[in-house]
Amino acid sequence: MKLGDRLAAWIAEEVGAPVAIGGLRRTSAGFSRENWQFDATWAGETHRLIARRDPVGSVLETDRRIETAVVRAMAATNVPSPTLRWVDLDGVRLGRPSLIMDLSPGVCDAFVLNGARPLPERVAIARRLYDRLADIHLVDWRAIGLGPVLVDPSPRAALAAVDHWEAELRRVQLDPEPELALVLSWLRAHAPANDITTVVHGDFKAGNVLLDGDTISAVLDWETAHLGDPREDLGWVTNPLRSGEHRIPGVWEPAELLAQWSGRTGWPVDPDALRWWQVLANVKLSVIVLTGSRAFIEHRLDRIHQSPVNIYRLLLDQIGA
Amino acid sequence: MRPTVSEQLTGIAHILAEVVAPEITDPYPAAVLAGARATLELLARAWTDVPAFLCWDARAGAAVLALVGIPVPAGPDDVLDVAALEAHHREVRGLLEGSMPAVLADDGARAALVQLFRDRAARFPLNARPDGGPGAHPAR
Repeated sequence: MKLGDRLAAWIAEEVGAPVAIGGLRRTSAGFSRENWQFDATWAGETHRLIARRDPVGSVLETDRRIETAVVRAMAATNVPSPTLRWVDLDGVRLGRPSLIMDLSPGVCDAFVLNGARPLPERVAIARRLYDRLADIHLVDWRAIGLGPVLVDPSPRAALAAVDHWEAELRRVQLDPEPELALVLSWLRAHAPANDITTVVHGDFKAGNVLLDGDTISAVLDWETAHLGDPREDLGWVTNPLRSGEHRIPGVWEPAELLAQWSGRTGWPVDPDALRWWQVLANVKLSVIVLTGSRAFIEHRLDRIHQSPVNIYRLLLDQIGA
Repeated sequence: MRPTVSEQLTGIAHILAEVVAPEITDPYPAAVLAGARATLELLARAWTDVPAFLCWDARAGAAVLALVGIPVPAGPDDVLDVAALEAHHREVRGLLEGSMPAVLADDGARAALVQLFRDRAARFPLNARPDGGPGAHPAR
């Protein structure tokens, strides 16, 4: 059965009425999920929806149950997030675990901070963007029911992150990666403790939000969300490899970003801890690349990933080797 | 032997660009095709450098291991036997990975290792950012 027919059958069962599917297309965004946008019409009304299905292969192996629980919980916060309609964790409906959400208004523009908008507009968007990141960290995760869902690693969130990404490395690596052995050794020797535990988005960036005009209408892609040290997200967004997404040269640099975040959360940022999390961010990126390489050679991913030697070179600089 | 391997790879990339790409309007397959074309062009430019890189990298890794007394089996006699070169290269890299505590405990070996890592990043023949994906270009 074709995907459109499967979607129609699934939704028809959920709404108790015949459903017509139109305009089904896979979007190019998203490396860890297949994203399919479509219109679904029932009872005379058309709904703009998006189905997110686990891919055959991916650059990330993540838990759909976690994503679902976090998205549902975020509905009770001030963090704009997608409206979840239906979930099939067992993969019965579309062949693989999937969920269907309302298509939130707005567009996804990964490089909006360096796009064509006037500079003051881009700076204003940057402020709103990283206010949303601060809002994620300020969420009372116990109050919205995430305590039983997510593992609380405090006060060793840093070492838990190293354990997680080293385990991922062992799971996916096709070849020895001695560069990462060196960096993992450094990370274990310098891991900072965390005295604050928050929801960590895990992949926060302009490419994972929807902009409706100047307003952030939704924060997307919660599949890597977990509890941990909020500085993990700060290391991710201040990583020099991601500067095209997160910085406006000379105007919105890491200093401005961190000041905005500290101003909203009231929490200072220790520079040594930030540097540690920037190193972790690039280990994570390296493992994501290696995951993609494995999926590619196993014919489960249709994008090609070369060895992450450029990331390794940066990591050597970051650890002062 | 014409067309050479490089010429064939370049030619296939050209066919994809001129014949196939204009017919593809959906963004997802268009992005996938762009990545495949870029990789073909990279291979056409760089595949001939791969055997020499494997030889050099394995030799340099063995030299670092020698500083901490770890022996490395000899490489293949035929430097054009790419499969054997790949296997030997993987073996040396595995020894480096497994010997990290010993290497890091020796200042001279540690410095040599870091220099090797920097040199190999500079020499890596398939060093490219072909398709805008996270591996190719983390800032997607």
